[in-house]
Amino acid sequence: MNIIKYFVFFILVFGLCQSGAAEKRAQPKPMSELTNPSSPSYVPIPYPKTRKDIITDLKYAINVTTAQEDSLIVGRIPEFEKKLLTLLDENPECKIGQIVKVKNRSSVYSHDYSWLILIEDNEGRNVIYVGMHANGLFAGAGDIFPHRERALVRTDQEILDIVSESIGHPVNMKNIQHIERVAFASPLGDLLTPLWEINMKNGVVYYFSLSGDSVYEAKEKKDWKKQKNGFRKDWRELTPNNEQFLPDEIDDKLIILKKHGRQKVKDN
Amino acid sequence: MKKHVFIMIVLIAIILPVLSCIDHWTDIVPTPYRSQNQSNYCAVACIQMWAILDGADDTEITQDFIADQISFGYFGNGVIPENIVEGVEMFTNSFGHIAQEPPTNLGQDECLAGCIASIKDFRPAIVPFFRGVHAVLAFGYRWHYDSGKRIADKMYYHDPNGNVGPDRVLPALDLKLNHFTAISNPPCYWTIVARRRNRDDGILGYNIFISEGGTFYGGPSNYNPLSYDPRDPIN
Repeated sequence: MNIIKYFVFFILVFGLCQSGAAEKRAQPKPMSELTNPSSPSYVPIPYPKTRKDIITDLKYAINVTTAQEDSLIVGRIPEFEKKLLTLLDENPECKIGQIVKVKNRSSVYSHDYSWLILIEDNEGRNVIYVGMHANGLFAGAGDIFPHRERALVRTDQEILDIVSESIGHPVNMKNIQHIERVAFASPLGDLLTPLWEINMKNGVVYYFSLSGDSVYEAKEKKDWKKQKNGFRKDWRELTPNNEQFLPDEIDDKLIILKKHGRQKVKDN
Repeated sequence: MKKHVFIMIVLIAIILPVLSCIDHWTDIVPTPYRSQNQSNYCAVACIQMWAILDGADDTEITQDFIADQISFGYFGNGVIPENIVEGVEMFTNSFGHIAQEPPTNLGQDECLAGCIASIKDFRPAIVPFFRGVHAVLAFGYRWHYDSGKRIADKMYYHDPNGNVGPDRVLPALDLKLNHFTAISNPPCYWTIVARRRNRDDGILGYNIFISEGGTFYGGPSNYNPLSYDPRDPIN
């Protein structure tokens, strides 16, 4: 047992010494801020890990970011916010559904993952999505179009079927190394509509984008390090032919994509 | 474990009433939603939604028509503020203005401030998303007072991507950090807002801006408007 403790301690100390890695992500909020009830960054349970803890933080976030007196509202707030507020009631109009862990490829957040929380209506349809940062702070929310409610919760097998249709030959669990949900600072897949990243054993990487409703293949990775002035190169210079791309700010790469249209699957 | 959960519940019960004492204001402009017809029409759809709010008929002011009229310098994989402001001028009853701010923390605050001021004038704002790759239409803000300063809490917006949709909210801090992030050359932050009445640059413009309800994320505590020239993005 002690050996494991020493090992964990060594890993932590070693991680702290890796200043190069620490530079790439924003600094995390100090725990004193997250645990101070008078701070705007207060969360009941910092860095929630279990479903129960995530729900505690979610309910707190709904209360502090959405509840307010009607007299202070000019105009009408969207319907989905009213529904979300009922989660704090005894008889809510909706319930908390799937909670998905999403890998984060944007450097402005200090953590390597976030939570996507799906809210269902009483008939089990996904109606609202809510984003939560790893530290438990609210990260945005939105209404789910009725025709998109199933798209968000596709199984890995369903995604592989779509990939097979798009690239024209079958892909199954044996062909892939891993499949996971990833969020970039990109319209092709942010925290509320994360992409599926499919790493094939042959080194090819595919992405399925909900917002683009297509499969993309990582064609090339261009260097995208920060320059001396502290800013990255303008992406327009790196995509002279209007290529679609994903900005990987963690590995400092601009991933140039090739879009695949749907086609008939040929057997290998 | 039970004790731990009990303490948490007690803490929340104590804290919630304290926090709910802070008054929050929300301003929403009732902006209709239209999704973009083509993959590179995000800014065009934003202009169309703004035009419909101002009374245009969307069967006449179609997205193809808007796209034909404004000069597309480079629109395939991103948005150019000059193109958008041209469309706002041409198709809405609002006078468009590019709020171009310096590449500092203050510049990000001022982009937020500009959007909120536009919404308080009952006009939406077109906000560059994902560092200008995409554009969305901000139509509302929630904010509160802190030490006499207005602090933005979150933004309401329509995403013209039809697979994403209308009515989304984003915390103001996330908006500021994740979207108003300059990478262009010369580096600057920008957003498209309705031009304010009698807008002046420099200290006069700053004072008018604040008196008319300009709202900041963090507040201009270290801001010396005398040293600031808004025409120089790298000031």
